[in-house]
Amino acid sequence: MKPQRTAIYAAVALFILSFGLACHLDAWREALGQFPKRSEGVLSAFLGESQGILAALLFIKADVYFHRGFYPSIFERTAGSGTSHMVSESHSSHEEHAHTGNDEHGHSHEGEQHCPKDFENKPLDWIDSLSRSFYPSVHIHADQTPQGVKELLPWLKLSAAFDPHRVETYTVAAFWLRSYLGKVDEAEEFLRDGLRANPGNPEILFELGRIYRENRKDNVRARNILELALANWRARSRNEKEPDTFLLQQILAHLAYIERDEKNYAKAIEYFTELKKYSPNPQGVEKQIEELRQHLEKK
Amino acid sequence: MRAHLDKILALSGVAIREMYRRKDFYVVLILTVILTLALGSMNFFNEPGITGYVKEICLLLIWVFLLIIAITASARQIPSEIESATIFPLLAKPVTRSEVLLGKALGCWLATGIALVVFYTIFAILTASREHTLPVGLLIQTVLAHWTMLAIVISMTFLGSVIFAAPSSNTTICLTVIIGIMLLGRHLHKIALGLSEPTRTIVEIIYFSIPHVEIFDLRDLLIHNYPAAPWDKFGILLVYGFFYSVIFLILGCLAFNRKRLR
Repeated sequence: MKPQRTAIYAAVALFILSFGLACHLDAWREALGQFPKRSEGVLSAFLGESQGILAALLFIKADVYFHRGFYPSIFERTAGSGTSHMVSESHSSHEEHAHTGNDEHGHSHEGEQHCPKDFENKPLDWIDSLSRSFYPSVHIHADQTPQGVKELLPWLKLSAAFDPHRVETYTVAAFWLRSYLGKVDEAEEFLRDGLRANPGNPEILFELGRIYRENRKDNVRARNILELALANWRARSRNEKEPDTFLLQQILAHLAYIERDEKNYAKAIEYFTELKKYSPNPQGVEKQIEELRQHLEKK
Repeated sequence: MRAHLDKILALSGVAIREMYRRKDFYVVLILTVILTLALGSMNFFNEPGITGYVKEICLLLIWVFLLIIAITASARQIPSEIESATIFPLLAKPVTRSEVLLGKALGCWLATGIALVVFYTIFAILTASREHTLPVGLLIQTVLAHWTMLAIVISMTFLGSVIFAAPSSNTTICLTVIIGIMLLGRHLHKIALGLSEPTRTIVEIIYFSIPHVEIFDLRDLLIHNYPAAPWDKFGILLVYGFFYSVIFLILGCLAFNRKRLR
């Protein structure tokens, strides 16, 4: 009886000792700062680095839905087909195009715009020819109907859940929510989720600024947010070899339009002058500056 | 001929009863319903009427589970009879080995057909309740194409069950081959065009000789709300599937007739 009790006491003592040691080692590890101080959730703990791959796959799935199932396989992809049309649509803004004449890739709009998913589409043999009747083999986009756009949303939300640091997911989802479905509140909420996961990110701030300017017609808040986006872009670009000047162009253009609308022509000219340095269509920007100068003189 | 058919049908009835006494089908059915309902109840940006992801996941589960059921059930039919020595009293009756194999294959195919109807009925109810429409023509095509594809899979597995020693190895090989064809089959010719001789010719021979089970996958049409495929081409597809099933069954009968049972 006595040796049995001793064994139980010893086991309890060892358990307390090991628990205490584990707590001590954990505190020591955190003090070293070699590991993240807090877990990012269950998904992160279970999936680790594979989270990013899953998020990318889910993002591609959303693009597949944008093309209504017509999607090139890795054997059909050509140069440029890696760009998602769902993304490029979301980057475009009609106003900038109209005034500065440049699209998201910095090319002029001449003739028809081609989707990056266009690929060689002739049947190679009778099996290929027959099979085309049984899977989507015609190139159409989901944005022709609101229902089509809705179908992208689950995949984008799941992609963000798997990788909250994938900024593109937030901006693309917000664009489709506010532009095609009129869900401005949901778009803003999703962008704010993105900002919580990626504090101060200029892409998300820019998209948020667009919501305030284009949907809420609140130029004051839009200006504050876009100025913060500009400041954060500048801070980030200092450490980058090839900074994302397309984002800079978009921020500057929106700020210039806000200042123009608020009749701060001098400030608008300042933004346009900076935009001219990066724009692939400096003549278009120069034209805008001239118009603003005329307004300024009249004032 | 009539006598042969009666024997095959009697044997298929035994195979069907055996399959439905097992719990596999009920488990995967409940799992599919629970997973689909759970996914369907998710809220994405307060947007009602999003159905694509529910259809996609439900159909994926149906395809995966039915493929596994068809292969595992077919793979064990002949080996289990040989292992338990019940094949001998069976062959002592006035039935040939070919009739045994054909009867069991037909039983497995009919049983998966019943499972298929149950699964797709649930899918149709779920879809109709969310979308308020039901593409009947395309749904019929999807079920028939899926069933024809399972006929190829079952006959291929029966051929494997008389060639390979153990059901486990047959199951693994058949699953690998079918999944490989599903993923790569459509692209083999494109891959071949980028290769140098003689590899190119070898890959082209493989491409034209394998059963292209991936063609029978009409899920994308259903998910993305396309109209039904042209019925004439669909008829050719069913004939194509029937042709390969018959080839595998003939090869299976030939191999089984030559097989030493002890």
